[in-house]
Amino acid sequence: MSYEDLQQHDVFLPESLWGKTDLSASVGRTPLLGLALAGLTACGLMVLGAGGWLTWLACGFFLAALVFFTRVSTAGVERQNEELAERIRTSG
Amino acid sequence: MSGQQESLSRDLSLFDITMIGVGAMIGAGIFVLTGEAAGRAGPALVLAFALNGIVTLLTAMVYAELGSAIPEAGGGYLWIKEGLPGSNAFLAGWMSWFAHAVAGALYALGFGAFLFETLRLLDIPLLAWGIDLVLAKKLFGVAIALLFAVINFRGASETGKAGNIVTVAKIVVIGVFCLFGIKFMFAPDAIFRVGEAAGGMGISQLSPFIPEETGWMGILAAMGITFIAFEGYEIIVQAGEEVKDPRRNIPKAIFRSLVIVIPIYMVVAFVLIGGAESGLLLRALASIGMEVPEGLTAASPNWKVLAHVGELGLAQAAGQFVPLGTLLILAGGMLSTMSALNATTFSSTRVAFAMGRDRNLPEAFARIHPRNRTPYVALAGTAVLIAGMVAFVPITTVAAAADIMFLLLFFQVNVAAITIRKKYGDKLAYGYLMPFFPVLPLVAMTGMGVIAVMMFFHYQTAWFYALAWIAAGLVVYRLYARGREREKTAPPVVAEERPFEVRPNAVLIPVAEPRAALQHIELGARIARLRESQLVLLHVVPIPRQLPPRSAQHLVEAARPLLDRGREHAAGLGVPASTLIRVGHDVAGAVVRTAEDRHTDFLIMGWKGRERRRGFLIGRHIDRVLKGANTHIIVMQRGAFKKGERVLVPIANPRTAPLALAVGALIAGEEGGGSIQVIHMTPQETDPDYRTRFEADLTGFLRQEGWDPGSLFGDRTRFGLEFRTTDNVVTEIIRLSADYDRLVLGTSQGGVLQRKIYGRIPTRIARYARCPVVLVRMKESGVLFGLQHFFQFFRELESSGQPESAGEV
Repeated sequence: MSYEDLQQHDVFLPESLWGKTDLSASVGRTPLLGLALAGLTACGLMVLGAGGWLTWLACGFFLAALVFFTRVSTAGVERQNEELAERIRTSG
Repeated sequence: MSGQQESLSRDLSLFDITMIGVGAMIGAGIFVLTGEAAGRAGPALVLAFALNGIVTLLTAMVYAELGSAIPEAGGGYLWIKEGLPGSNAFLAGWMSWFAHAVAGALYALGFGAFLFETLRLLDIPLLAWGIDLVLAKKLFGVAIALLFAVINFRGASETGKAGNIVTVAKIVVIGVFCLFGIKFMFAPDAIFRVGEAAGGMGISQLSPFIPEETGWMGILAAMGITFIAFEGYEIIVQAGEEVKDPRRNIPKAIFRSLVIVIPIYMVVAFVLIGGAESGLLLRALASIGMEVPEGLTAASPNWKVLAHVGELGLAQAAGQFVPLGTLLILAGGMLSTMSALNATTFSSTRVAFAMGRDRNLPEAFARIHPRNRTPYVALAGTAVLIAGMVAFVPITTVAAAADIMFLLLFFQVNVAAITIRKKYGDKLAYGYLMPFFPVLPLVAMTGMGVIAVMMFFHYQTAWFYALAWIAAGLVVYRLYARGREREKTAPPVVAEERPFEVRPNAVLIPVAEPRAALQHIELGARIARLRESQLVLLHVVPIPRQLPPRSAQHLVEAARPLLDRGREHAAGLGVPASTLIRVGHDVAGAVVRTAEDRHTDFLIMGWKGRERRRGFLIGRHIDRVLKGANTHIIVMQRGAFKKGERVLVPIANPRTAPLALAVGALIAGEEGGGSIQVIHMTPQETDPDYRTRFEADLTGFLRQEGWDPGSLFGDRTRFGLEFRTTDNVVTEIIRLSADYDRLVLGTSQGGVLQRKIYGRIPTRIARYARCPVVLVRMKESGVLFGLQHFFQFFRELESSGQPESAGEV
């Protein structure tokens, strides 16, 4: 697929915005990192629990972290899209 | 691509697209693979699914970014095509075709097993007829694969609401299994105790969590074999062109589908291993005509038995704690495998069709049936592939081969995500940006790399299938697709005239400025005469990107006299010349493509002698031609040939000297009576033996490259060889150049050395030398050139951060 093909698919921002947009993620990096670490810790606890109650508590902890991870990520999607719409609107 | 674009209507809502992902992920993998995976990891299957979820989430974030930025049909294949060089796009399509087809084969085999067990439960005496489970899987599997090929050929496919209903039905079946299973484990009563099952074992069967027999290797093997179950986000982005508000909905659907699917897998694993009783599983194993392995008893851990029950494990476990549970899971399994087989037949065919349309596969693959409007050749090829795998390959190997293919595909997508960000920067409208770029895709690649390597130890045969398919793909690419791809991407030839007899090994001369062109033609004619070849005169008409090639007709007409004059000049020198005009946005690309298309042996270009822009070694176009064209290249600084020309040729290594020596001799002999002085500079004094050997090597390599010293130097050209001792080669060359009419500088080394030679010496000499300079670069071996080309792609991204295709011509 060439540059022209991509252009025809309308995937580019208006040229007036090129070079002015921050490419850092709009998703919260700190909470995301915290939740990722929580998920990994939960995996470690599953092993430490050796199949006992700790394993299954950790399992629940992992799933909770997964749910929050998804919430933070989808909130990031919303924020990114709002910012994008705002930038396009203000660029005229 | 044509000016007119066809696109699909955007009808799919966030719910629809989430269900597509969920449907793909809890499709057949959960029904078919959990038994096998339980046998690998034991109770730690729960952990294997959790870790797979983490690895999957990393790549899913990459998919979310790319899917939100480039939401077009094609998904991973499209991004790899955009983000990676050379054969990667072809291989991505080739692997994607195979991966989806192999996944289809897995579902067909799963369906065969479920149908066999259903018929057996309905008292149809298959075993008495000699049809055991293994044979039934293959028979029914091939039949269902062909049936869905016919259904796809007729143009019917599971879409929209019907697909959502099937997915919800699957979730309900799994939900019933999990609820009844948990109740059975912790508080069994009359309802939750089916037949002889006792229940009430709590979590006792889930300990030890990581059995000694399986260990961490078992967990990794289970992750590998079930990785295919999490590839639903690939299906989500495949449908990207049909999604409403894709920048928002595609990334959301990817995250939501995973948050639904990962817990389901973990809970199913928990219930399966926590609830199933070994004794009853062993009895089920015997009833389906399978041998009970020695050493397995009712006291054995159930995951060991599940490994042998395989794809029927979930159904047999359900039979222990859900009323009519076996039939329920079998029905759910058949529904799942059928819808998954339909989807993979469709997606696999779509990839083969796209490759045919891109001319990466024979164009027959892009044929559409006149009545049904379906790509019947691509479909037939896919059906043969699926049916062949079903008939001849065991189910576990099939699953592992599909996993390996998806791992490799996702690996490429992660690399493409990095290059696309570097290439397009903030020009793309991202609906989601992955955090921790580029660490995140690198970590994802590491995770997948570990799984892929571990799979080699557990599923070697599958790896061999995968490698054989990749090797076959490389052969197809080399022999077929590469040439067709070039034809497609080359700027169009709008005018061409050939001599009566077309000779091989021609000399390509891009013609732009008349005076320089005539000089290049003179040198080219001398080479062509010695090689009994001809000239190819090329003129590229550069046009801005906004204009289509046909709009440049007046420029094409204006270029004709220039080429006619060149051809007449060549004829006057006794050499035939063909002429062609190309119109394109990319001058250097047109030169490279012509050198490839016409299989030219030499390329002669002009050089103004100064580095005009920062970041370019010689010049924007010449740099790109040097990197892109694998042919003998001669770059000439302006300066008319004169009688008795004195040519200086500094040589470092006799192996790389022939072209410089030949060009020097041809220039010195052009007007007759000239001289060529070869200088070999060393930091230390050389002995007579070294000099004799050096001289013999020079002649030897010259002959090896097809140059006859007798014809090259003739009687009238004086030849001298001098050995000098110096600490500073560059300064010495510059100093000596004052005594000569031309300096020929050669190298065939790539990479750092080439950069040094072309980047340092020519620019300094262009500034300080008192005579015109000629740079020559010898043709590289195909493999070496290919490798350089591959790494060059990433170096360019690193240095420029801008797409070449986006630049102005």
